[in-house]
Amino acid sequence: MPKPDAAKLLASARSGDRAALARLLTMVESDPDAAFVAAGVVPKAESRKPKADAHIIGFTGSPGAGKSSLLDRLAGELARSGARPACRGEARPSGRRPAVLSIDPTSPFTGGAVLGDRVRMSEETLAVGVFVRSMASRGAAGGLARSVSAAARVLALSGYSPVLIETVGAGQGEVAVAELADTVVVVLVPGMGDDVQMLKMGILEIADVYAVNKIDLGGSAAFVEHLCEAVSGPGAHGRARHELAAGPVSDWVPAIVPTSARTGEGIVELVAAVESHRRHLAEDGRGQALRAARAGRRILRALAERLAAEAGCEGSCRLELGKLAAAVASGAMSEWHAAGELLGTSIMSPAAKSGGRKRLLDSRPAGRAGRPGSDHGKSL
Amino acid sequence: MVARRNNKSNNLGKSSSAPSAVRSAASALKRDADGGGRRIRLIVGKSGLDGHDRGVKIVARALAEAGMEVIYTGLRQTPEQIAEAALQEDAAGVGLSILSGAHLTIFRRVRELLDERGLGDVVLFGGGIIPAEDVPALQKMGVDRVFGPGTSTAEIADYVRGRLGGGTK
Ligand SMILES: Nc1nc2c(ncn2[C@@H]2O[C@H](COP(=O)(O)OP(=O)(O)OP(=O)(O)O)[C@@H](O)[C@H]2O)c(=O)[nH]1
Ligand SMILES: [Mg+2]
Repeated sequence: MPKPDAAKLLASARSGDRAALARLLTMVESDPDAAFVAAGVVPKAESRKPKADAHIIGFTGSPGAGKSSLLDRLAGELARSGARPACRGEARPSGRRPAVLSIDPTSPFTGGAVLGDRVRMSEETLAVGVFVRSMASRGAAGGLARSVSAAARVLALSGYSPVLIETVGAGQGEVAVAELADTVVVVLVPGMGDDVQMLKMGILEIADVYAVNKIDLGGSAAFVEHLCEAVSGPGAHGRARHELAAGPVSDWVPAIVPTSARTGEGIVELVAAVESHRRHLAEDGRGQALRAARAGRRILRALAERLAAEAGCEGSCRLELGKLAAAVASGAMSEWHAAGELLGTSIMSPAAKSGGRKRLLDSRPAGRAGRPGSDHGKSL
Repeated sequence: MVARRNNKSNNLGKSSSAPSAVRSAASALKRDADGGGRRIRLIVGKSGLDGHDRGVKIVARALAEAGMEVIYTGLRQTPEQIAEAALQEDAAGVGLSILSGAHLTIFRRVRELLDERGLGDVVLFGGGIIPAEDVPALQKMGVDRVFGPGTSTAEIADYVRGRLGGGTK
């Protein structure tokens, strides 16, 4: 099959061809740049400017908290809720076309994955036109896959908004979603270990909205009350999210919505909370500023991952690594410091590699571990 | 993979210009994001009213262990859900487990719905409790392969790799 052209696929996707959209998403998964190349071409071919201002809503929380089930309900509600009769009595489309991106982990051993979030997607949700796509994390850290932002962009360009993103749900270290989503919903379940444990974790500091799920099982009232106190007190948790993104500090107080994905209770309120946060972001360009701040964080994350990808260590780098490894194993320095040594010699300065690298390596003993006065030396 | 890495280091070693290092880093990233080639993506699920999903879960896991990305849809999927999943997920194949005896109806409908969506090239296969005498009819309606009870997961993985791993999708 000839290689499909990303720009052509995007043009088809924008005119409603879901198969073209799906193919473009596959392309973007192996090459995130395809999304941006395509987007750059489209405006010339079309008179309409591609709009890509979809509201991106991230969902995170412990495995089994009910993220997928809630997304199914929420996406269905979002697609339908605007479709109420307008004042003249005629049905009006909601203008919302929700899409869902669900991320599940890739096995580091086999490279394969079982993507199981579709199990919770109901027929009704598909019937109202929600586009659901599963993505494997493919080795990316932080609870998302590397191509998620590009995939979200493609969905936005194809007219989908909001884009709902479900993280792998490791429960911890799910920070990548806070660097991408405009609104973060943290799904908690009382009595599932979420009560005490979760409050200690960084995950609470990224929430704009809490969904306290499975309230049909009972016992949620005390939990909600506890959460309310934690969230509205001084140094409210939600603020940290904006500080994390190095953006302006927000006066948003995280909303707490008791929900049941089983009975549907609280779903309308969840839509309202998410919408209210979107309106909050729209005030005085706050949302745009935060987007830029988050983009900066994502660049740094990408930088770290690219460096890791580049750290294919061979030849003289191997020799250096051997020396550093001996030093780290014997307790002479930290791996953090050793990585810095490798970074300085073999990765960050390609120019040094051509001629200067050998000299650099030769003239240097096994790292500067014991060098007096180095920060590292002090900390030991 | 190893060969390509060596190649990359050689390029870096010879070149002193940052742009080529950047290009090389970009290609490394692409390769890594891709995991060294396009993955086989397929839908695995169950249609029909019976609630036995043990077998199909084992198959899903085995295919993932064989390095594939398996979109597991779960039980009691309607043909519409299955076809729509295949479309949205850009799956190269659809494997269905059917134990309820409705295999003729379900496979026919799924094939129709796939074709309607322009997904004629999506490979449909399945297993479950399917009498041998129904297999020719299934093949005629466009079911690529029918696995009998007791088929090993290795055999299924080999089939899927051979059929979907050819780089046509
Ligand atoms: N009683 C009850 N069960 C629920 C509710 N929401 C989800 N569940 C059940 O909880 C289980 C996990 O739900 P999922 O939606 O798959 O949870 P998840 O957070 O997406 O799980 P992972 O993606 O595996 O992390 C399923 O058995 C759901 O039926 C709820 O509100 N009430
Ligand atoms: Mg899920």
